Amino acid sequence: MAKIYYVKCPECDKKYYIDNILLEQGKEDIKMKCPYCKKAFIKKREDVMNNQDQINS
Amino acid sequence: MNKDLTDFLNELSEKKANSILRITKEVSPEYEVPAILQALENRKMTPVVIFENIKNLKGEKSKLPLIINLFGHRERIALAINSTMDQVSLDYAKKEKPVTSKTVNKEEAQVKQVIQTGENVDLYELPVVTHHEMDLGPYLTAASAWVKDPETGWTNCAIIRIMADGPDKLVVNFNAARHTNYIVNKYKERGIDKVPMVLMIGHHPAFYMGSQTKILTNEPDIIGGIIGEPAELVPSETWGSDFMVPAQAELVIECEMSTKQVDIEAPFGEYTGYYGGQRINPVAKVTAITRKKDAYYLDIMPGHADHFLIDSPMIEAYLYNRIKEVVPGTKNVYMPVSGSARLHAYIQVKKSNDAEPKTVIASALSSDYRLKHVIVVDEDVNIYDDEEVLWAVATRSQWDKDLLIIPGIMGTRLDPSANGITTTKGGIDATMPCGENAYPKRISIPREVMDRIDLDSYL
Repeated sequence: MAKIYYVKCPECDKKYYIDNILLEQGKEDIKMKCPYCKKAFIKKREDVMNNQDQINS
Repeated sequence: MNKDLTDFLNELSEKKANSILRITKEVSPEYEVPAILQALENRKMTPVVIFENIKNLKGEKSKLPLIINLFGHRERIALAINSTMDQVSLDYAKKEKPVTSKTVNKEEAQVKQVIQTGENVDLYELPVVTHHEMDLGPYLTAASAWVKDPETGWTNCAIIRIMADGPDKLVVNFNAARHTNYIVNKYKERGIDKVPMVLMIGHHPAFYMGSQTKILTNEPDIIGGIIGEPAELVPSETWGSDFMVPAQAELVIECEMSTKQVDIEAPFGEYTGYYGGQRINPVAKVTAITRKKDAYYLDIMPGHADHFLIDSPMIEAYLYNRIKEVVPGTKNVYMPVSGSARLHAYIQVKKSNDAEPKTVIASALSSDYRLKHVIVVDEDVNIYDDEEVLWAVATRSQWDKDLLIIPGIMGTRLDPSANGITTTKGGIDATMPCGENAYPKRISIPREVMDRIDLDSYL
């Protein structure tokens, strides 16, 4: 089973998950968009990989 | 002229008067349409629903009524090709032969009655639906995306999810295992940035069924086989006769999909019953929108019967034809809703030796990337009844000898239990051993007694 990476929107604090393909672009800064508040934001690849949003929630 | 969606609705009204529900109250395409459909489903109601007073993405009344759940019952899929519920995939398999398409002129093409090009295109004039809570935005879910193979010249058609992300901007998703992806890669290899793509939205269901063929060929020709006459095509506004579009469709969107520019797409509620996670996908710029004057805007409700049935009978037909080549005793194939109509297949065989069921399993599992589990049963088992199939598993299989497991094979990344596109597939031989007296006899009540019992007279 592939690991699920949840991210927390810095604007509205809601969580959703990304496809691992988003982490496989070779970029350190990953651009995302919250499906709830529709705001775009950037997270560090390493932070997402370490599931920081899971740990801190 | 090819039959269109209105012809089908008229036929449906005549034959099944209660199968169309017209809603005149004002409805928003953001969650309200899916909520009404879910509420109907909760009452075990599965009509085609036409929203006559639907808002578009500008919040105004849409010029196009919205139609949803067109494919939401197997009976309607069967009616589209003059078949029956339990024969539809077998009849489709028989019709799945190429018939060369026919070019018609613009005056004969309903889809050219309203033409918008360049700066006049505006996707926000359409009632594009946002379906599930975590979806990133409104999605075109009934768009049959036509892409031309630069090597063979064949046109591939596939219903794929497409996010409406601006008045002329789309973000397009397709799985790595799809023919669309293989074709787009050919454009990339040739250094071509803009891939011409045509999105057909709304047509007679048989036309859609033809476009959902799994055969790798010029798919508009298969549409001709399914509808029983040449598919009528007309030159596009953007590429002229270099790329033909379906002439009697409700709506056609012409766009150029970039092989370089990508943007964020998803989450999106998928057929598996889970959201596909957020990812990046190619951006497409809309170059033209053409339609019938009184066109319907068609939506498919993802993760529900409407979504399952626009693909499963065609996959069943494809599997049937492929497996029958290897095991001629193959009788029927069914992809039950319990497997989201993609992941499970029940296959009925009249076997001639005990090795055939595992051959059936291997053949089926390698023929469709999404198919994950196969159960092979004898002719006496009704494959349309989950309980009967599971009864066969319970009483006709031993897991130390009747299982076939194939690890490390290509699957769908939408299955959350898979490791990306790599999955493990498997099948169960739930057939009785060959030989007339090799197995206990199934219980039954004497036929002549059953025939003479009139139950009502005892009640």
